[in-house]
Amino acid sequence: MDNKPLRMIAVIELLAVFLIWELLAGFQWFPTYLSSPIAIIKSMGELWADGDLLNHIGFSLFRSLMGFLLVVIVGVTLGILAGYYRRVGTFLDPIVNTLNPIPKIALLPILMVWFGITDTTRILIIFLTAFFPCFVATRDGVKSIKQVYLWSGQNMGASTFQLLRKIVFPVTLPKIFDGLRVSLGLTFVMMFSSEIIGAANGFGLGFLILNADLGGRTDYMFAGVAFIGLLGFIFDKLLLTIRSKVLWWDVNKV
Amino acid sequence: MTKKHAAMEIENLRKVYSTKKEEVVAIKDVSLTIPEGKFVSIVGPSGCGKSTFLHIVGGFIEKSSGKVKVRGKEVEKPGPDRGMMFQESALFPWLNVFDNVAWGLDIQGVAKKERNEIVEKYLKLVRLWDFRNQLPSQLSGGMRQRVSLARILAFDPEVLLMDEPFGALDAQTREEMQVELLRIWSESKKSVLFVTHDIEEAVFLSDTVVVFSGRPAVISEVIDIKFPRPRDLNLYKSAEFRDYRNQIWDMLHQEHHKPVQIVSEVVNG
Amino acid sequence: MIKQIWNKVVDYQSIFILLIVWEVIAALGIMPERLFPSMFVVIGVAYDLAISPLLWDNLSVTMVRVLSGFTIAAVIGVPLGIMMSRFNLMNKLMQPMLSIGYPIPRVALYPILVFMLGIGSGSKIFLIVLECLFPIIINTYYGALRVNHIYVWASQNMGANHFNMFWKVLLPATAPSIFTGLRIALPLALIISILTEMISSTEGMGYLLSFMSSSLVQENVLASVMLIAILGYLMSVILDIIQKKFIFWH
Repeated sequence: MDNKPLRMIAVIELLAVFLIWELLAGFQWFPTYLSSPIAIIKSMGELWADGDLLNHIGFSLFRSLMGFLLVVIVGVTLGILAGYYRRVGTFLDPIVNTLNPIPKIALLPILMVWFGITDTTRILIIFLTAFFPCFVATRDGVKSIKQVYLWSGQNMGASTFQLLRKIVFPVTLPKIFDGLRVSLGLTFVMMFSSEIIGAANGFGLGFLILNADLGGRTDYMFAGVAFIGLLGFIFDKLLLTIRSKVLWWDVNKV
Repeated sequence: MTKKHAAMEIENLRKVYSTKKEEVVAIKDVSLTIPEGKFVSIVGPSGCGKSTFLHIVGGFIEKSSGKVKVRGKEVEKPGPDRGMMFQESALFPWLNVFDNVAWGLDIQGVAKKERNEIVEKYLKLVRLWDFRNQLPSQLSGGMRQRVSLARILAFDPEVLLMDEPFGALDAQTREEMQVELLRIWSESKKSVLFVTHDIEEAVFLSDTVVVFSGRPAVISEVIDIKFPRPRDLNLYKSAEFRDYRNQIWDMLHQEHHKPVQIVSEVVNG
Repeated sequence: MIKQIWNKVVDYQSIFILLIVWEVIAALGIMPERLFPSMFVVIGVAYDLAISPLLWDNLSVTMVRVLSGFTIAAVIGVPLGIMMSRFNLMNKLMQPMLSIGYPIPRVALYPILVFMLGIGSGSKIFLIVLECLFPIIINTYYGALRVNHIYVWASQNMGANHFNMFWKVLLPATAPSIFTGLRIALPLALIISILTEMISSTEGMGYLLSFMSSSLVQENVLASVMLIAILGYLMSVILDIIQKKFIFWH
């Protein structure tokens, strides 16, 4: 599908929503707590000028990306091993099948008892949540590799390590990216959740929203939400860009 | 030279699949010898075990009993001494044509300069040097199989194994590929074990056609094709060609009723 | 029978290994008992919870939120997805919204929704609907797009109108994809319900968990998590059964 007209429509739609919102707020047909787009943009500017905003974003990003990095390393490695070696698979499958349907956010209080309300807890809960889509996608991707790829690798004398690195990994990459995209979305959801539950003083967009909530500053709340939304949006696009760079050979690329 | 070994010797090869309930004999004590430099085809009805047979020789599937030797050396697992060509393209979709052909050489640690020369030589042999920067997905089915052939020839196996390599191609491309294969084969002079369900393809290409009967697979007939080489597509029109074709056709259509075991010189090696 | 049980144990050996390791650590007192209680203690607490009204009151609140949010999302999302596949204008209007909305962590809207709809079920159900809409619409849309044109042409050839086309051709032909979407959406509904209840609520399973964890006694926390885990697990088992029953031709 051609993306250009769709992008145009997206911009028009967004502008229309903002315009209606602004008008309704301007005529005071909206309750004041709904603020208005211009007021929110102003507050975003204030927060930026304040200097704290960069800290809030920095700390939130640090937690998110540490968690996500763990997911990439552990999820992909275990996924490949579980898909390739049947014994690893039969060992890990029950654990994954049991844990996967559980709302992982419920594990947050357990971690809080163990590690306190710290970044360790937050990074771990992000990892525990985002691990599953990546692991499952990688494992299933490895399992669905065409036999002839492995056979011709063996035929050309490749060792098991060479098979895993030079055939299994590249063939599975499209699936890995599919899983990572879901994982990335969960990363930001859990970043927000872990910052807003069991609040502590410190930096983070979740804290910003929470404090604005307690102080009744809904314009700051909207600003905080907008920044989280922007982060989620930008990093999703970043992942898709990396994907299309790495998978330039993939005919089915999105 | 003390004793000259045949290119491939298969002795009493047996493959049994065990399920919980029963044991199914897929291949029953097949012996076959392929002399050096010969082109031997196996034909048989689909599901008769001819592909399984080839996969065992390739080392991809474990045999139940028997021996597989390549130039006198017994083989157990896959290895670059037997170049295997599959029906579906096994080219790696994330590598371009050049890198695909270079892959096996890299694995075996061939130095870069020498590697590039070998890749160039074989891509030119299959007439696809100009396509070296293309991805497999950008090539036609026939071109892909020519790259596959180049990839296998590049790592210089002792024998070639081909599992219906042209089975997925349309009739016209198939005939072109058969001529191509004969041209390339005549330059490399490697022994070939070729599996197909297409009788005419087998007759056109081979020095010897081995007819498999189905379930469990046994050799029901071995026929020497006495056409001179080089051969071209006009062969298809000759009366002798049709005689060979009809002979094998009859055999495939009656072998359900009574498998006959005729032992020829090739079997005894 | 015994053999079947034994086979299950072998299949799930890793779980049992983990449990044994856990018990050994708890029994040896490597970690303080307050942080690392024995699973038997936890099961005891969970049982006490399960026979008290505390669990059932909160469970029913959560289930009402999950099911009503999920149902509303399905009723809106499925027809919308099918219509997007049939009407180009609809698709062009919706696609940008979906592609902008998809990567955004919509949960962050929750504090604002509390402002608008209060701390009760309204804000939670709204967020559940919002979250569930995405997988339902997207899966329905792509499923309906892939419906073989032959079916549509054949039904047109037999004189089907728009109404018949929707109910008798598109809906059944898209059913497997719709189900995939619902399959993703229902666990999502549970997650959002519990998450929002943990952030701010006065009732529900998430509230129960927060309440129990405020004691900082690990066996209370673990017991609540265990009950939520069982709830999540049961929901996925029920979905599997429904899927096997209704999508039999797929």
